[in-house]
Amino acid sequence: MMRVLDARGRNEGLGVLPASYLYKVAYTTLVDEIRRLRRRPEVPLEAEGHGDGTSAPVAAGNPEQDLAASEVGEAITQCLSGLGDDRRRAVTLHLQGHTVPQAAALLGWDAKRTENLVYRGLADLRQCLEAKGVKP
Amino acid sequence: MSTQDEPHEAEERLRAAFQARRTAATTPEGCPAAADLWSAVRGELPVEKRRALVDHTSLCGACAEAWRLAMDVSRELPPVSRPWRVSLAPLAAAAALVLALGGAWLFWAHRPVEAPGFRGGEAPVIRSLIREDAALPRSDFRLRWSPGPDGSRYDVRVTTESLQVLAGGQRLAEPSFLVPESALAPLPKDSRILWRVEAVLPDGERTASATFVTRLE
Repeated sequence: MMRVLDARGRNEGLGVLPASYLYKVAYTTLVDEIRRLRRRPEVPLEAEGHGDGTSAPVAAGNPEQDLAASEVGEAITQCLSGLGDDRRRAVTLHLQGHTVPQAAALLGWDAKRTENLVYRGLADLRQCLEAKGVKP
Repeated sequence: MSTQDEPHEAEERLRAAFQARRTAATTPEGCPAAADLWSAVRGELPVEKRRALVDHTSLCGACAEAWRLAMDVSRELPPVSRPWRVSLAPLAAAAALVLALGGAWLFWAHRPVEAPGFRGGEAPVIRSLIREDAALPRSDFRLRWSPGPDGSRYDVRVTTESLQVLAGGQRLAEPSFLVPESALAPLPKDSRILWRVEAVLPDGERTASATFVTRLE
């Protein structure tokens, strides 16, 4: 919001801003804030106790599940990095939730080529995960 | 589960696991600017630059999340962008919309990893059947929503405004969920409770609701 107001101040001579610009400013502000929160400094283990043998409450969740999810995620990232560039890009956009036409437009390919790359890339990805003993 | 459903479900699990990655970039150049991610998703950057950013998101879970947020937010933009006179009202509306989407995105991004992703498409829209201004008593904090087709099942997740998980249900046959009174006990009067439903339709498709807010009496 502050960034938008700043932009408004700089843009007073024009008086108008496109809606897409306002959305972009709001989006970038939100993402920057999320990144800032995630950069919180790590706390040494000894600092977490209360000094009386008790420890601070831990975050909610299932540690085993979190660990398993982390391992699966790491395996997916490793396997993606081993794919050819074009297959990796097509599969990445597919897993992000883009349709084939959307992925094709973003990557500058035609839909048929993109569909083939998604198909073959997913097969490669599954094969790699199986070789690692990972089944999401 | 039919044999035909298996490849689809396996792909949904793979997508969910991909989207649940938490790894941040370890590349020397770090993560791209949020503005670049936005412009890439909007197709406003040159194709080579877009491909480079897709490469980054394939290895960086944090930026992949930011990419999906840009996808969600930019869907809300009108097809033809009309200039707005800059006053506080549209600014507040834009900021509120993005923050609402961001909150919903954060809420959904931190779901358990086994919960598969959802697809939009032609699926029915899930609506809250609780009036927006209504407050529910702790002893009967029953959430209700519009049902999907016969045979639909529902996953529901209930959190505080700070996204602390209070309760949840999985594969519910009925379109309602009673939040246990014990889960609400620590919360003060007038607390705002966030809840969201994901429906598994009879054909295996999934559709998710918006994040609803209901006050605690």
